[in-house]
Amino acid sequence: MKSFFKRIALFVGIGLILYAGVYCASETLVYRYAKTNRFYQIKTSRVETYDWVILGASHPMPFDYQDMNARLEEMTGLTVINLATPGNGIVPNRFVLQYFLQKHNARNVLYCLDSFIFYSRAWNENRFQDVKLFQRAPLDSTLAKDLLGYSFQEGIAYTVFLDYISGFSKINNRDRFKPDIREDEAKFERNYRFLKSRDMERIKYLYPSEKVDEQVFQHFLTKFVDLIDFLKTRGINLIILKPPIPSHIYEMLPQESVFDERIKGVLTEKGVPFYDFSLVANSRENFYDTDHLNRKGVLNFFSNYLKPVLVKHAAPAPSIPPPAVIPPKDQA
Amino acid sequence: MLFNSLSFLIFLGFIVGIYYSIPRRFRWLLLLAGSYYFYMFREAKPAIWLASTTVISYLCVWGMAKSELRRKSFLILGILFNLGGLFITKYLSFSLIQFGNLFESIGWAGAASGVPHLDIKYPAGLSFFTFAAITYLVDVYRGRMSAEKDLRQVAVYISFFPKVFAGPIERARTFIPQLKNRIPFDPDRFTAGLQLILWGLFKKVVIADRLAPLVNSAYGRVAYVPPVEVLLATYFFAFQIYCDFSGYTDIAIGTSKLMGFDLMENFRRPYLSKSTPEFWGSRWHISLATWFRDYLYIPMGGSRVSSPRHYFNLMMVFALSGLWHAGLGLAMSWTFLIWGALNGLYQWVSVFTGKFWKMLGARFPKVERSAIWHVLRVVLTFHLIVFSWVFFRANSIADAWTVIQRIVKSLGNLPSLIGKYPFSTEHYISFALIAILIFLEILDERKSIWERLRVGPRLVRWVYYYALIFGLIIIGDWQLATFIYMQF
Repeated sequence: MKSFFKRIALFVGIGLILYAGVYCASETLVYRYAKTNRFYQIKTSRVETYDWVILGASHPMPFDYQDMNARLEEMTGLTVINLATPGNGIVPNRFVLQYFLQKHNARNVLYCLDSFIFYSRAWNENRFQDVKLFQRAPLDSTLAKDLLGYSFQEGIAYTVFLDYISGFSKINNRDRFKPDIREDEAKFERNYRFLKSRDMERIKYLYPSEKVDEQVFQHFLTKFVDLIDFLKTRGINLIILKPPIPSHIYEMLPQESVFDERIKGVLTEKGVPFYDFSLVANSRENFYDTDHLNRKGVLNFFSNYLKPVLVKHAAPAPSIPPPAVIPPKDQA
Repeated sequence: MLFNSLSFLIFLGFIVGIYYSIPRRFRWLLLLAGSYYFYMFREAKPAIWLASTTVISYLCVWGMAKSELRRKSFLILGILFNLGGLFITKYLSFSLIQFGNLFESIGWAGAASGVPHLDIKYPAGLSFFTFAAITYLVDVYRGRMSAEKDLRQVAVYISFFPKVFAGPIERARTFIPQLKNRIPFDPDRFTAGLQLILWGLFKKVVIADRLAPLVNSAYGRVAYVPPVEVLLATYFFAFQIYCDFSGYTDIAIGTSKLMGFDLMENFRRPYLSKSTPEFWGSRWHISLATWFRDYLYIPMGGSRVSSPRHYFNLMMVFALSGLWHAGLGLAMSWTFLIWGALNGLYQWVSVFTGKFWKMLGARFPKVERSAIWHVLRVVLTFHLIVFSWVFFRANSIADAWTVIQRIVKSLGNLPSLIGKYPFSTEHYISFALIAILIFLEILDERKSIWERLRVGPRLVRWVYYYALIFGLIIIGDWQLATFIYMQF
């Protein structure tokens, strides 16, 4: 019997060594092929302090397609990192931000807000179960610690932590030899042909239930307020922005005006600037699908709306007002 | 709880660990509690069916034991209860819809729309554990085993977690005695169990689940995909269903072995059959085939009746087998009845031509014993079975007919169509995996692979195990959750 258990121990031991080898190989592939994974970007970025961190779900992602981020930095003269991820609600966005702030600094955060993230755990706690979030995330003890913490504090599935530290989905990745691509980026140049049936499908997908569960909403509203307070304690400015979407899509959003009023109330109380650009620069030729800006739409939005906001709010507010200076007559 | 999940791995480790740590008299409690926990993991309500099947079957058998005069009545009551439950949950809604459509077609307007919508959910595994309960009822009635006085043993037999969802349909007379045996820890049996689990997982997770999307994609749009794709999907489905089902059964048998129980073999290299009777009689889903043989075919007279009656018995068994399969993982449809009837037809042809082939074999013994003839028979049998799988997998009779038409029409141009078809990496990997499977099955047919490994060097054994384990980890399809980002 003893020899049986000894053989098992030896078999398991050799197996673990082989597994470690496979894990190392997978980690090497991550560094070779990961480009768009946010955790990879955070870990490998050499910039110490960013002027702006952009958070959100899929709507601000086009700000990072192709050379858009570089164009935005060039336009504004500021350093910008876009950490938006499709379908990410407040909880995963805060997670990404917390990880970012352990590696870098940020002066300002721009959060592109959507109402649907307040209505369901699917975009928040359950979102972590998407293996693609961490499949190309480099192994990092900080990230592992954060994940473990979120398992206890935020109720995310413990399997997410186990999967990350074991590297299972990294090893099991079918696309291990392919570079990360964002599939939508291939559509970035196109003009979308709107179809009512697709619009309705999209709305149904984002808002499966027309009725708002007040308990769920309050839960995520509290998370949102916590995020605001968290940034305040770190001395980081926060701006909330709603990017453009087509008017007919906006009209289909359930109870959007009610949501806007509630959010505005909270933001006013907290002194957080709010820019609602839902219905600006939103003609149909500016979109590559139902509600995401194409290249033309993004550049238009950058030049006329986003750049002024980023520049205006990037300047740190003086703590002591400067002494009044009366300009000479020829400069008035 | 799925066999290929982390939850099951933790559950199994826990159950097996405790099993050998507690006194033998408490093991029934662990197995019963564990089995119900396993069954109720996703949803608790269907456990009512499991419990009531157990209690009613037990009471009917108890009634048989107590009253000689009413033995038959209790048998009929037990069988009616079990089959009635199966009919209500699995076939009633479908039957009402079909009757509604039929009456509508003969002039009764509104018949189809007037059919009530029955919100009856089919309890997982009902097809399997009701058949297990029926074996207990019938075997006691026939005197093949004595009535089990202890309800606990019957409860464990029916709910035993490795086999509750998808078999094998174990006989009470072979399983219940094992519950009463003293089962010490046996390293060889434990290792054999782990080997089977490993191989079963490999078949399911690496082969079957990898083939599934290729099959689903083609069979979801049979009229639109290239004929080569339809043909490939048909062949792939033959291996998908085999690896899925036999993989699951291997895990069930291996899991049972870990705790010292022997379940019956359920698949024996079916695609190496030389005839359809051999396929159904001793290689494919053996526990179900023998169930139909022992509890339906033989009571109906089997082959010891007049010729027309024999043919009727054969067709009835296969048609009912087709209906039994309906709804198992695929939507309820008449295609299952056609699949069953087609296999019944194969049996008719075998019976009808049996004497002819025997005579031919006697006339040309060298040909009959030759390898070429053997291979020809295997290939022919395989293709007859693959043809029948078209009906099993197709979403409708129209789809099945479309598949057959498209394949037949493309046969003349097949080489050039195959030459032009853009095979993907997934296709090549699938071909390689099927080739490996066939190679291993041929080896196994000559001499059991486990036996070869057992007597061979430890290094070879361990390399084989590591290959399977890392194959599972690196290329297994573990159905990991991904975010479905809706794209337009």
